[in-house]
Parts: sequence; structure tokens; C-alpha cells
Amino acid sequence: MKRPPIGRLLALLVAMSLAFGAIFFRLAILQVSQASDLRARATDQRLQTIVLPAQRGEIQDRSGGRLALSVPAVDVYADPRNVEDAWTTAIRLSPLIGETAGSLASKLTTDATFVYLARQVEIEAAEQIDELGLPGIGFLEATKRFYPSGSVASQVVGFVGVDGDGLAGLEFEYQDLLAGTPGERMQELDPTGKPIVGAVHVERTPVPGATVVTTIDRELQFQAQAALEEAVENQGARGGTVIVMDPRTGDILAMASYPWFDPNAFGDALPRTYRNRAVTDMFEPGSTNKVITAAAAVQEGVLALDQRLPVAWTMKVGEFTIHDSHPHGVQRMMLGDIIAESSNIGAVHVANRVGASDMATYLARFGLGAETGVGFPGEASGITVPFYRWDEVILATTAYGQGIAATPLQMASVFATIANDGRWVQPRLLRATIDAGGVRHDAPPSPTRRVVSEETARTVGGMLAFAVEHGTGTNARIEGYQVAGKTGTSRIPLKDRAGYEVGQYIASFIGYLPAGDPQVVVAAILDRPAEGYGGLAAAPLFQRIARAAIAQLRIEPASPLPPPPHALPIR
Amino acid sequence: MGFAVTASVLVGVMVLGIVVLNVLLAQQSFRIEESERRIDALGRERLGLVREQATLSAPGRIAGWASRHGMRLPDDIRILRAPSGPSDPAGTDTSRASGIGG
Repeated sequence: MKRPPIGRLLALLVAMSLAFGAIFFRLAILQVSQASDLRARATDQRLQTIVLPAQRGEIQDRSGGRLALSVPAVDVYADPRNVEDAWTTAIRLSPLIGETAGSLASKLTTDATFVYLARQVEIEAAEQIDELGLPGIGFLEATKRFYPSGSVASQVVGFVGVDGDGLAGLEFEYQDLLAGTPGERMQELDPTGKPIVGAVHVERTPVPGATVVTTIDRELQFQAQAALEEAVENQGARGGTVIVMDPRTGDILAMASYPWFDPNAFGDALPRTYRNRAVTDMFEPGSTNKVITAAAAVQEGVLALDQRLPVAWTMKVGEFTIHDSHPHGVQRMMLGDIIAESSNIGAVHVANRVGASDMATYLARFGLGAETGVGFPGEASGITVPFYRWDEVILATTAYGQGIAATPLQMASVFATIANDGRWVQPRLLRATIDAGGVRHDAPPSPTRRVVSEETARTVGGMLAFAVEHGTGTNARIEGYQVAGKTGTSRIPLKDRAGYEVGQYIASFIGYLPAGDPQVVVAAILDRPAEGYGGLAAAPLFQRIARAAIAQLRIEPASPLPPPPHALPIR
Repeated sequence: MGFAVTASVLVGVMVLGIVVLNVLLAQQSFRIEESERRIDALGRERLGLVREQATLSAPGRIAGWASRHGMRLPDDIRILRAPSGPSDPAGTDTSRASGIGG
């Protein structure tokens, strides 16, 4: 056999060397420089990572009654590329999803690989959709927030959006606690994209969110709301607010503003009904603020309890003329009479003796002008006049609660301070949390501070009880119990703050019981009721809620406080 | 010849063992998956029951039910005191045992 020419062999060697060189070069590129990228792409094709949603924690009332919980649901999605007949699919899905076929068809024809058709669908509905076997339609595990008591405490609890994030109320305030930590599952897929059984590479178990135990008493909350709704309707009022609070611990047992909403269908409600106006809105407290004037006077000892002050029915202060609610001759009133009769002029006389500096100090000590720190989003701090702007008019109007603004919660806290022997307690809505392991963590006791002495508090308490027994608050009386409280009828500033609405009032009654051993504070406030006065419109509301509190909290009567010295004849 | 037969048997047993092991593993995987599905289903059922319990215990539902059955809240408040003990002669005195609150 003849050997091939050496030239050809060399050419073949060179060609093969070049070919192998090219292969090695390409191999080096694939295995070295592009290795990590290609490895990642291969992993992506083979492995699928699924986020395992964490179960959102519950919100409970103080006894463990559920106010909010998460239930299983399903998100329905479509991959429009795989949908065979958009209109037929849309028509078949429409009744199960509750959306028009036209709207669904437009989603099914979008130029995308993923589109949500419905979020948080009930399991049963999702199973019905699955049975249709429609190509291009898929399902994702989800949860849906459910509020079993509907509108009960809705403004306190708040609500969550479709993505499971708290948008209002405690759902928003404690989002981090409630949300938990999502888990993750990485599993291997076969060439058709289906998971290979048992081929789970990594699984991180989701950590459920903590349960938030509130201070709310669900039954008392319901009764307070029922009473408020009825009072608003009977009085033709624009709205109203109620607060029930334990003065010893600061626990808020009930809190609501009418009108409210159902968090299960918050999208159908007016956004203004979402607001927890007991915390976020302010009003001029009117005569309920006289409790601060009286407490300051007693604490500072600026007048003896049996000292009589000449009280006319009008009084000139600066360029303004202020007056009492009804005409009367000059009466010689003691402090007890001034509170019982809710005399504006009398309160101004008392405030003048206390002085602007001390009045401003006591407003601040009682918590006006500062957030209470209750732990609720959007809390208002109220409005008090800076001390450098105080003049005789500010001092006079502050004495009877006009020209300043406070939240209903701030005013409830003022009365809680008197009820709690002169010690202010920070109101709170969080009682405890229960972590994912079921361990309960009680919230620390609320911070407190001394505002007035115990003796002063009980003296003022006696005046408030006298006001209910024989003064403007008689409609708040409850047989068998000594009630202490104060009426308030305040004018409503115009939106431009250039004056007050004519003939429209905020009627309020804030009080506590039993006066001798206070266990519950109730604030009842009505916005523009037909019977404008606090004693006529709000005191009966207070009474009804206080009765419910007595029954619900098993409150027993206590020894009564002695009445204050008084000069006017008893009604 | 003997070596070839022995090797073939050994290899055959090993292959069979591997196949059997694989089948067992797959079977276990299916069982685990079935168990996981059952756990999920039971979890959903538990949440459904929790939801039902929460709905049934809602004060609005109970108040509505009570109202439909003619019940209403009492007009007055009474506190009934139980006898304090066997040595308390008041224990037999019903007029003292039931006092109106305040």
C-alpha cells in the first residue's frame, strides 16, 4: 500500500489540531468563563422555587374571641398564551369568579404570560373552576382575611389588602408581628414542567405570624356600638363616638365611631368610615374640660371648697362677652355648684384664680396637646395654645373647654386620671401577643404619672358625682350606683376656623362608676344631635353603655363619695 | 465459566436490589406526598372549623338569635350575693341573699 504524501498528513494534522483546538477553546469558555451562568440557567430550568405564604396571626379580644383571622383561599391566574378560546373560557369562568365575561376576556387576551383573574377566591369556587379543566388557567395558594364579627370594632381592628398587608387599624400597626415569615420550597421539575415526586431540594417552613390579643371586650364593644347607633338615629346626629376604658390599667374595652364599616367588604364602604375618630379626630371638649379647671384649683388650693364666688350669667373678657347656657341672676356659687351647674362664668372665675401658667401646666399634665401613645396609627395630639400666646381670652375659653381641641381618647384619659386617684395611665389596645410557638407574652403595664393628689382626685370625683345626682348630668344616673361625670356641650368651629357653626353642637358626657371605686370610664359623644345639650343627648347614651359595662364586667356598687360643699338649692 | 455465572448473578442481584430500592423509595415519596396533602387538607379543615366557631360566637349573631327568640336585655341591674359559707346564718335568708345592686 502506498503511503499518503506527508504533506496531506500534515494538513490533516493541522486541520484536526485546529478543530480540536476550537473544541477545547469552546469547552474552556463553557466550563470556565460561562460556567456559573450556565449552571444557574440549568438550575432555573430544572428547579422551581415556590414561596410558601405564612399564616397571618389572629387578632383577638381580651378573652380570646376572634376579631380577625385568616382562612384558606386561592388566587386564580391565567397564562394567556395557553388559553385556547378566550371568550368561551371567560364565559365559563364569569359566574364562578363574579366578574363580567368581557372583563375576563380582556385579561385573557393580554400579551403576558401571567395575569390574575381573581384573588382570594373561596376554596369551593376554586375547585369548581378546576373541574372545568380549562387550559391556561392555574391556581396559587393564598389566604383571605376574615372578620367574623363584621363591623364590631372594625375601626380598631382595621383591614388588610389583597396582598395580605395591613392597611388600617391594628392590622397596620402590628403588621410586622402579624405577617410572620414566608417559607420557601425548591423542587425539581421533569421535562414537561411537572414536579418530580420526592425531589424537593430545599424547604424552609413558613413561620406563622403572632396572635395579637387586644384589650377590647367583644361583647361590650357590640353593645356600645348598638347603643351608639341607636342614639345617633334617635338624635338625628351626624355621627358619634364612644369609648369604654378601665381607668386602673388603661385598657380600652370598647371604642367606636359611627358610622362604621364592615371590614369584610371595606371596598364598598366610604373611606371616612375607616377612621377611628376616637383617636384620630379632635373636638373642642367644652364643659367636660371643666374637670381640669376644678382639679387645678383644688390641687393648687386657690380657693376653699366652701368659698362662694359671685357668678353672673354674662361676663366681658377682652372684647368678647361670654355667657352661661341660660340666663340667671348673680348667684353665689361654690366650686361644687360651678361643676354641677356647668357654669362657664364660674369656671372662668376659677381659672382666673388658678392663673394661665398653672392652667397650661395642668392641661399638659392631664395629657392634652400630646399623643396618648395608645399604639394606633394616625393618632392626633390635639391642639392647645402655646403658653406665650395665652391672654385673658385664652385663659377664659380654656376654662370651659373652647379654643382648644382634644381627641375623645384624651378626654376619656382625663376622667380616667381622676377615677384612678389622680394618676394618669397611658391607654392601651394591646394586651398580649402569642407567638408562633403558642407562648403568650403579656404587654408590660402602661406607664403612669401622677397628675394630682389622691385627695384632690377624690374631691373632684365628689363634685362629678354631685353633678350627676343633682346637676346637669341627671340623665346619666343609674339606680344603685354612684356615677361621677360631666356633661359637655361645645360649639363646632367652622372649617376656616373663623368662627363657630350656628346652633350646632358636639354633645358629650364622660364619666365613671362606681364613683367610690371606679372600674370603668365611659365617654359618649354625639356630633350635632337634635337635643344639642350633652345632658340631654349624650348622658342617656352614657347611661346605656355604663349599664352594659356593669352587666358585662360584673361591677358591684361601692361606698359613695361625699358630696362637695354647695350653696345652690338641690334640684 | 463459574466466574462468569457468579458475576452475572451478583450483578443481577445488585441491579435487582437497586431497582427494588428505587421502587421502595418512590413508594415512600408518594406516601409522604399523600401525607402532606392530607396534612394540608386537615389544616384547611381546622381553619374552616375555626372560622365557623368564630362566626357562630360573634356577638351580633348571638344578639340577633336571642332577639328572634324573644329575649331582651334586662331593664334593671341586680347583683345576687351568694351565701359566704356554712357558718353564715344569712345563707338561709333569701331576703338578704338577694340584694338589689346598691
